[in-house]
Amino acid sequence: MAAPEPRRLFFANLPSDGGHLEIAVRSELREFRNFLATAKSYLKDETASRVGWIPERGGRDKGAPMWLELVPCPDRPNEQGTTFREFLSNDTEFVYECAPPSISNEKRERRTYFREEHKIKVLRRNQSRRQLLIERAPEFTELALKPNTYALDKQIEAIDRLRSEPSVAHIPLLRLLQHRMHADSLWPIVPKIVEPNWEVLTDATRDGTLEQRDFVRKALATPDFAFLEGPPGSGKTTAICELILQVVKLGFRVLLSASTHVAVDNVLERVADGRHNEIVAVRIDRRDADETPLCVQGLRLEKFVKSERVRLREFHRSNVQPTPAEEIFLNALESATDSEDMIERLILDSANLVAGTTIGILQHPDLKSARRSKHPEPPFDMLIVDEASKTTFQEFLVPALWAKRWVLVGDPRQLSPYADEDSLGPNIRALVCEKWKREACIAVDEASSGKNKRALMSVCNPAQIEFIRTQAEYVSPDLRIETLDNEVNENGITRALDLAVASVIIGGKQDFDRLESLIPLDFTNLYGDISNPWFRRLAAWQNHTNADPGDEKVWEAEIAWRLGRNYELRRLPKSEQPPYWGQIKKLLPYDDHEKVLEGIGTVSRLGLPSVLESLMNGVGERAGAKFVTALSHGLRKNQCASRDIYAERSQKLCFQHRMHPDISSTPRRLFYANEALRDSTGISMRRAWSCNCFGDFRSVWIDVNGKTDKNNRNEKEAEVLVRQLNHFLEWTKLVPHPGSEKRPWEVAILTFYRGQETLIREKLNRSGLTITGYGAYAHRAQDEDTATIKLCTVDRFQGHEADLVLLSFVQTGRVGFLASPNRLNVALTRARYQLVLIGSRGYFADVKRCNSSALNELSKLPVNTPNEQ
Amino acid sequence: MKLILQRDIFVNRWRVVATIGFNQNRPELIAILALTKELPDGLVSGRDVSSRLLAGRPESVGDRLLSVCRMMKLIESVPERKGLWSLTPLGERAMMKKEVPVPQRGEFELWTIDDPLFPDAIVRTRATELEHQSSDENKNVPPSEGIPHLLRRCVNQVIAPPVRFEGEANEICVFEISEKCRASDRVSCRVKLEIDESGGWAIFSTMDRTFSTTPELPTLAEALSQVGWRGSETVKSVSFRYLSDSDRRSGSKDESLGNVHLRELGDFETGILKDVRLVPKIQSDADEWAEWRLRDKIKGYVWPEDYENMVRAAREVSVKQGWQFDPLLPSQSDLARKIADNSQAQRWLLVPLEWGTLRRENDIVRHTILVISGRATSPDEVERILDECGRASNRVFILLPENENAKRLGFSNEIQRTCVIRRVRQPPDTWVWVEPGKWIGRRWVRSEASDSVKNKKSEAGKERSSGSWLDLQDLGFDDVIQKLRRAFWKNAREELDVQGNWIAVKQK
Repeated sequence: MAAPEPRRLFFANLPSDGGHLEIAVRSELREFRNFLATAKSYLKDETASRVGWIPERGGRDKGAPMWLELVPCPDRPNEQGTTFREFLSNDTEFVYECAPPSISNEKRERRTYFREEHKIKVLRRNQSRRQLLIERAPEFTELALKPNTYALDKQIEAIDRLRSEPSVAHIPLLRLLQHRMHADSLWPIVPKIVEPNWEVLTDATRDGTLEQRDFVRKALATPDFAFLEGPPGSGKTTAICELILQVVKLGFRVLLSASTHVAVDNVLERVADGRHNEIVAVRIDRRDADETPLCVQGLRLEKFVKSERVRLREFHRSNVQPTPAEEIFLNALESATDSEDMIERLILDSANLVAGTTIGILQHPDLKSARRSKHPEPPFDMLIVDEASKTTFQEFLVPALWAKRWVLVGDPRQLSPYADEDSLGPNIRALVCEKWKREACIAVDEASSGKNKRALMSVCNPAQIEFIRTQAEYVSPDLRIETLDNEVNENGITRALDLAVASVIIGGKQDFDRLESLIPLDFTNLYGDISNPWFRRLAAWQNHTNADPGDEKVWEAEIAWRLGRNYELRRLPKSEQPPYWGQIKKLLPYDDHEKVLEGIGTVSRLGLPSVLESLMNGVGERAGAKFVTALSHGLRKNQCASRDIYAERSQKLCFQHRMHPDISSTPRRLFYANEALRDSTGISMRRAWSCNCFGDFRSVWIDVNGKTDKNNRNEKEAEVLVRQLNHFLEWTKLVPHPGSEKRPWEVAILTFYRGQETLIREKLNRSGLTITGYGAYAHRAQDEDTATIKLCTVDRFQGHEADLVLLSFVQTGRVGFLASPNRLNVALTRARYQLVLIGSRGYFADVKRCNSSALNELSKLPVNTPNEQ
Repeated sequence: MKLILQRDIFVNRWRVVATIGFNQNRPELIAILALTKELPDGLVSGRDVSSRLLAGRPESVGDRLLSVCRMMKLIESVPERKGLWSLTPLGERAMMKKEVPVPQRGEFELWTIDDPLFPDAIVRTRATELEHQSSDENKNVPPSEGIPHLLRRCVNQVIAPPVRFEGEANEICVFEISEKCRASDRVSCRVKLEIDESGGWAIFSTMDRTFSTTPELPTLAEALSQVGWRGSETVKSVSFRYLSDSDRRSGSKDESLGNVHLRELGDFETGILKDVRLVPKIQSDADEWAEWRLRDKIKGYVWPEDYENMVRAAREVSVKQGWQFDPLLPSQSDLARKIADNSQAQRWLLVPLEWGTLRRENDIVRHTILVISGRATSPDEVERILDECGRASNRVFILLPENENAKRLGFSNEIQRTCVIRRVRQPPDTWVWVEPGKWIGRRWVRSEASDSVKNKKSEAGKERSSGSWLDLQDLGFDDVIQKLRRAFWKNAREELDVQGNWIAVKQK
């Protein structure tokens, strides 16, 4: 077939097949762009981050600057840490004072938050204490922040660039979107290369080194992609370090990105340690300097610029007879206007390793200022994305356009990208444009949930009434729907009885007001245009029944969270998977069922998988797609493609060097089918210790028969956990860490729930430990830290490790978050010496109650009776 | 004298994918270029950069910065001297200008003109915005084509595009243009080439804006010789009677040259030699021409000394314009006689002769001046006005309304019997009375007519004459003064001296 004429000149100028490539790219990326644009528009128009505050010091005088501590808003007690980080970010120059939103008009009030008169300048920040110094005391009880759409903007821009202005170097990226039938023959064979002189992977006898070397060889030789899969502690970082050193030796430049700071810093710590002179590394980082590890601080761009300026000035000032060239250089150094820019440019141009997190790298000065491509060709020869299993395709594209080759490293058995409901929700909502219809669906679904939910819904016309009735029949034929109409009057006793047992009562706004006395008190949800007194009635009822006032269901949010959870649980056996799809289907409007379901599939395809998984297995076929692409079906061999391009470019690591064998055995069996996470030789010896705080086993249960409250807190588990921690801390006073460098023991306190994290933090804050940061503590004895303690959720701890992990399960009667095998894998594979599982072991062992074979299996680990002393 | 040549040219617009360098101040790179220049043999290595400029950073850093310079084509590798680099001409130029062309790759719209007047061919470079919307997806786009030779020859050139809109660079370096481009538009415009003694430039208009460029051009003398204009004919002798008024005034005229060809610049459809100097052919032409110029200068009352100055100026002009004949000019009274009777010019010449006794003393007016609005006056009012202020006035200015009514001129004739009058168009109802003793600015305000009176008036077709004087202080005095100033004293040798609300007339 003759190639069509490309619309964009960039495609016309690609070496061959530009017309086909353009068509493929346009159609494949259009959905991604729409997805991001919808999410951005929602963020900009309908959201605001809100926090509460308590005065810290100052601010006695009205209008005087004051320090205040940020706290969660009363209606959001488990506010995410990211919200606070947004407020405390160096990029935040202003906050807006605001009153808490009332139940019915949050959206409208949001628009009034950002008025000029409510704007307050931020003068200083203290991240570790969650404190802000602002120019005056707020007059309202909460602070709001304008939503930051920068990351989305950059993703949209990257997609637009790839759709409009790809360079020749981007052809492999484009090929991911092309019909595999055409594209497969175009993927070059990865050539064999001469054995490099190994810098880090010098010991070939060490378990896993040969696999690591194979990966480095493939990554050096590949003209496009290379992949590294490795379970926790398998030496992915080491392999990355070796790769960077080899690439730099060839005179190339590397862009390193990972989803967590620790992954980036670990690599930098090892390659920019002064032993490898040829590495000039720059860290792009917007955190406070004191949050950055000491060894990496000097690499932060701002600090690098300052120190380099001083160094160069001293050097040139000491030159008594400068030549004209040296004089030009010195003059620029002395110039107030040019100096910083020049040094920054000098560093950015000369650095051969630029590193930052997936989000942080967006702060790179070139990326921030570039509206369009300023580089004649991608400035980096290789992009390495660590933790690529947590990075979506669209996130990956932003740095990917800056490079000519791409190396993805990760473990698809660990956590997937964060299922951002702010992105999924608006895109799902766009599938059903009519608000009343969405409300009708959720009202009917709630009423049919069997949780004694009853809804009042105001409607405008008979067509809407008809829709609700049919939707009810479609969802649950037994559901009682009652309509308020002209025939019903205040004396209609019979109808009053009907209304009393109705699940959904529908009528016009005036009908509700007219027949107020007939409507039962115990309705739980209000939808449509309903006057304020009804909301007050609802609040009174909720107060009376102790119901959660925040439990307002929104159609798209209900689908979004189920979609996210369903994706999380995709690896579970069918019998263990909760019926999320069935629940989603019940929420769909009967008259547009197929189309909306297809749209939800698209949203799931675009918003949930990681780039690593996408290229391994694909994200699924685009609705209406006429062909199979690498992105939709992966690079592996499948029924549509005979060549296994993924296998040619990928390497798996099988040995782990982190955990004591007792700790690794369960996750190896549960999540890696005994194929990976094999214990390296000598790991048992390296993890020997004398601590008997937790018995003889390195992976033990402390069985706590606690109770979970509605905020996912388990008081008893928290108490036991803190006791166990103190017990261990006492031991650390006596026994120093066995490492050659003198360093404290590292303890991680992990939990699956933010509510429990908050509860434990409250306890730790009162426990006499030194607070070193938000959720970070140190235990001191004789002026030395014997242990550092980090408290966070399992999700945020991916990429980290610790000597001792205390894991609080919280749940005692349902599986909840714990069902996700990826999350459980992360939770169980962080500990080097000791893993302590704190939870209701009895519940997890009960096969009838706990429908999770992984948790059932986990419950078989030995038990250590808590030491009550 | 100026040679003006014109022809039609075509501006072609091309959409191209290109790498184009835009100048930026990059002192660190300039320092590297300067270092290259001062090193032996003009060769630099990464080690030189690291040790001399970067205080001993690893050699790889120096190499990296050199590769940045190489990307900008500021340096080039030296054959058989691996690791050493020398300056390119672009590098030399960057060092001199202290700016380096930082390359940007993207889609650009390039405007080209294929004409010898534009040797660089590219006359405008516009970076197109990143496009993403699907709105144009269904549009038919023209097929791409190979880049024309015209653009190909611009590669590796430094160009100063003459067409620049706001924010567009005044100098670019074309590093690379991709093979396929798309012709987007072709518009015709006219280019005007001007060559005079000081040099030459080409001017053309497009997109409602005018741009100019200064190509390499022959001198005016060379160009004139090429177009066949004899070098001696810089002055042309002409008969007075065949000249247009504008030629008579300027003493020069434009000569059409028809089709013109200049070597290396090609054919021009029209050629005009501007401002060819004209001189009278014979003495009588000179006399008539000089007298015509005198009469042309009369725009108001001409005082005798003014007339003398006019005559002197006319002679000076004739000398300056290289007349071979000294023109014979009439006296003021002779000229007045030559002019048709009762014409305005005749009065302007005669009245000052007759009014010589009323001249000012010590530059201060000693006589009352009355300024009257012609519209406000009617024959009925004449007596009262003159009684009140006019009898003592020697000079009266009448401000005539836009629709001057001949009937009212009776009033001015009345005054003219004793005064010199000057008529100027002014807004209606403005009177100003200026008197040496009192010097009061006042205004005549007509009283409001009752309905019955109005009806009567409309029946009778007469204007009311009742009214009163008001002090001008609160009635737009400044405005009146400004108008008077503009009307009377634009070219005259006297001016209004205004102090607060008081007016005097002063000689300049």
